[in-house]
Amino acid sequence: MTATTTLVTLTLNAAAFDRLLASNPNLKAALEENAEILRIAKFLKQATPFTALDAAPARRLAARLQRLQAEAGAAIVTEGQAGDACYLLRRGRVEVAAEGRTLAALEAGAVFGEAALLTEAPRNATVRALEPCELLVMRRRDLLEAMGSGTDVGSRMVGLLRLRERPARKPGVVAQERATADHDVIVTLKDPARPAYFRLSRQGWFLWQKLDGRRTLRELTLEFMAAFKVFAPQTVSDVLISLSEAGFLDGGRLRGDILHSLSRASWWQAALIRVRRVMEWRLSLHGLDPVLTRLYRDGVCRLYTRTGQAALAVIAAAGLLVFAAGASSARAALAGHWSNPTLWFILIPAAIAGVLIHESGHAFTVKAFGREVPSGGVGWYWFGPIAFVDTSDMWLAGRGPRIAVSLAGLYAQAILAGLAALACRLLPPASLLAAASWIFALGLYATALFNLNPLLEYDGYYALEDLLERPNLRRRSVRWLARDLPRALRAGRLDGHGAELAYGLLALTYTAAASALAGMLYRMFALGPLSQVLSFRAADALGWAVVAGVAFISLLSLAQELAG
Amino acid sequence: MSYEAVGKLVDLWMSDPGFRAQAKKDPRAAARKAGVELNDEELTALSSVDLSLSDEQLQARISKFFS
Repeated sequence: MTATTTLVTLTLNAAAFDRLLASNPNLKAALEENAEILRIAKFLKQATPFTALDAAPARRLAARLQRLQAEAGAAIVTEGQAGDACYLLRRGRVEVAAEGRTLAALEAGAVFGEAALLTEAPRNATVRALEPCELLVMRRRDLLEAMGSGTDVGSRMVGLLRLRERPARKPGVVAQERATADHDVIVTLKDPARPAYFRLSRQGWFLWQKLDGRRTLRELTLEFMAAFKVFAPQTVSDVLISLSEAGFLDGGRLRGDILHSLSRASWWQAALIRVRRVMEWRLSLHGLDPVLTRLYRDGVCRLYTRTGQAALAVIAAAGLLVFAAGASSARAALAGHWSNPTLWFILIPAAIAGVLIHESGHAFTVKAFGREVPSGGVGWYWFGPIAFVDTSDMWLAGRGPRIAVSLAGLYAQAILAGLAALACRLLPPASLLAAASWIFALGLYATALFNLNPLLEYDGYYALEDLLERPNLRRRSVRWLARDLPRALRAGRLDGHGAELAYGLLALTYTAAASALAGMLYRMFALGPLSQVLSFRAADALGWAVVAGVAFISLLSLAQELAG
Repeated sequence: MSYEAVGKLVDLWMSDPGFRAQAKKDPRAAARKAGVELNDEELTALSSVDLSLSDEQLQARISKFFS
């Protein structure tokens, strides 16, 4: 050591130090303990998942770990038992065995038992000391504290888990193979217990079939390499992680507290998820499918015959023509009825019937294709109230049937609007019922156009993502814009992500357009009346607040796709 | 195919971010640096590191009617 400034040192020679310790047993014990903690901290920083720990967290963790001695032949963990600790082998050798088969021998520096620590699963192997061993015991609370230190200890532990685990398919999951419009073969998995769906590429399907609970990531990667001639450990790992997170693998799911700890850093994601819960609130009615199946078999199926469909098409087309032809004269005929309260007593239940017919269109078309409708209900979706049915089971069907189901609600709506327009034509021109029929038809056509907008997650959106064969198009586009666009710009190529780029940019443009439209409508219809009540400055400021509010909510609805 | 050699690369890939970054840039050099000897077929496979797959959980299809 070289002094870089003038300094004063105090010295204590070895003999004096030994005498001091001999006369102060407590001091000796404290110093020994401190030295041991420093040695353990140094050891920790050499063990793979903990190398990124800074000195202070490593010392804190070292102080918390229990030390354990194991005699040769002793079982340290036993297969099938629950456990909430993992072990760091400090000295000695251990043998790992499962189902009577020896899997590996581990030496000093190895970590084992992490699976039970990170997941709800019982111990998946027995670990036995091959010689006298010294171990460090890490309990879940110690790991959670280390994960909270801001380093990537948690993700490295999860990486270790993924490397060693032998993933298995969840029982009861059904698979449906189909060809896409690009003549690619994909497989859709369905877990009927929830229900949940997962799309697999040809390569993903290859892996899925290998997930028998006997192969590790290493073995899967080798088989993948042999089949597809590509070294793809990250791809294999990503597919397994996605399947695990989606609940399609048996066991191996990370515990809630571990997941929470891993995602604790992204506070904005947690905030967006909370916002989404409020802005996409739904009240679901489950157990609809048996009722819909009975109704479909008992009569609705006749509407799905060729004759039934031809009749419905004639009504929809004739009604639209009649509505368009009478549009110019209708305004004058309505003039005397706007202030009549009876008009609203007719229109409100009619509007509710319109919603029911729209959703029935989706639901019965799902039944016509032999699929299930597990639930339906009402709720709120960002800008207004909604009614809905869950048509997720159509993920198992081909592109044509999926588009048909997405557009069936609008088609049912067009038929109802056509009936209303025809009724308006047949009723006495100046009557209240004629006026109500015309307004009803207008409302149905207008909401149909709104629901066709593919930039919002309504019927038009699902039809577009099916047409493009791009499931999760909105989320995919937003994530691609946020994460991959800079790289694509640098590389100067889109690598087949043109649809994501176009949709993402259009969604952003729509946000600006919707905000401008809100401002324009405010100025046309609200600014004048509000200026009479408030000052002009206050009414004007309110208008800008409306524009900002619409822009904020629209951007928030896009940003929440990043939160997962 | 050498099980041990490629298996060692998988272990390194999962546990060593430095190896991962290098393997993405120059997989052959990364394998050489790791002391792994590969045959021609394995080297070819290593040259096309990873794929971008479309495997994903499908979001629920909620057919909504804005009313």
